[in-house]
Amino acid sequence: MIHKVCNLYGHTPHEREDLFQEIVVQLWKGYSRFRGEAKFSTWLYRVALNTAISGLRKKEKNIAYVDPSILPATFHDFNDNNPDQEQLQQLYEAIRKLNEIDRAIVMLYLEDRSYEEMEEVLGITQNNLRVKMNRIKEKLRKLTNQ
Amino acid sequence: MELDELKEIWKNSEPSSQKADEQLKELLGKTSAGPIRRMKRNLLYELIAIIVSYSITIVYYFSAFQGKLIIIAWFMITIALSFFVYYYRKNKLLNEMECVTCMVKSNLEMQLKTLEKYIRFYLFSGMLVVPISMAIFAWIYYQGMTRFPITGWLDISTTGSPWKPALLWILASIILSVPIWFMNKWYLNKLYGKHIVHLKKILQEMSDD
Repeated sequence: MIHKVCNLYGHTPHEREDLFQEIVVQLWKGYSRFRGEAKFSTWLYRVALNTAISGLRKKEKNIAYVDPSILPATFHDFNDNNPDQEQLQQLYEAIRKLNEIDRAIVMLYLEDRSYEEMEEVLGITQNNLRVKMNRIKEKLRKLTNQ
Repeated sequence: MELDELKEIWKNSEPSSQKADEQLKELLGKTSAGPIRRMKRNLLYELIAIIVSYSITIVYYFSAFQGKLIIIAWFMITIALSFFVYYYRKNKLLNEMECVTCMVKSNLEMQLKTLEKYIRFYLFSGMLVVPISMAIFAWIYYQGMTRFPITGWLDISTTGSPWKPALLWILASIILSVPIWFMNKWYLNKLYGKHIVHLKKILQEMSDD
C-alpha cells in the first residue's frame, strides 16, 4: 500500500524514495499512539495520505514542476510478468493526472475500501465522496480513451 | 477501461521490490525529512546559534573593560530571554501543526490555521524587534549620558529636553520597522506562500459541492 501511495504522489524516483522513508518513519513514530479507535487500515491510510498530501514542496525552487504525464513511468518496479501490465500502466498514468484528493479517493476505491472508511480516512462526507467518485470515473474514462 | 474491472489488477500490483528488514531498519535510523521536522530542526539550530554566540558575548562584556560595559551584557541577556519566549511560542505552534493520524481534511485545516498563525507571529515579533531594541539601546544610551554628559541634539541627560531624542527614536523605529515588516512578509511569502495557496486549493476541493 505504501508503495502505491508513493507511486501516485512522487513525481521522480528520488521523491518516491523520500516519501516512502517519511511514511515509514511516521508510521513507526505514530504506532505507539495507535489506540484502536479506528481500524488499523484506516489509521495506516491516514498516516500515508497525510504524509503524501500535506508535505511542503521541498526543493521547489530548484525543481520546476513537471507534468507527471510526461515523465517516464517507473513500471519496472512492478512484476514484468504481469499480463495486465499495460492496463495498469494506463491506469497509473491516468490517476497521476488527477488532483491530490481525487488520487486519494480513487486509490481507496481501488483498494476496495467502503465509503464509510473513506470518510474516516479523508474527512469528506460519504455523499460528497459518491459524487466525486462518479466524476473521477468519468474523468478517468476520458483520460484512458485519449 | 472501466475502473471496477481494474480493481483486481490493482490489488495484485504490489511492486516486486519489497523492502527487506535491514533496509527498513536503515530507513528508520534516518532522520525525518518531513517539512515540519525540518522547520523544527532549523529552529533548534537558530536557538543553538543564539545560545553559543550570546553566551560568549555576554561573558566577554561582563569581564572586559573592567566591567564598564556590563550594561551591554545585560542588554544581550534581555534580548536572549525574549528570544527564548519567541522560540517557545514557535516550537509550540510547530508541535500543533501536524497530526498525521487525524483525518486528512482536519489535518490540512489544522496545518493551514497553524501555519497562518505562525506567519502572523513571525511578522509581529520581527516587527517588534526594532522598537524593543531601540528602547533598550536608548536606555543604555541614557545611562551613558548621565555619566558622560554631552550637549547638542543627542543630549538626553536630565537637564536636556527629552522631546528631541524621543522623537528621533520614534522616527528611527518606524523607519526601520516598516522595511523589516515588508522584508519579512516577502520572505515568508517566498517560504510558505505557495504552500498556503496549495492547502487552500486542496481544502476547497475537499469541501462539499
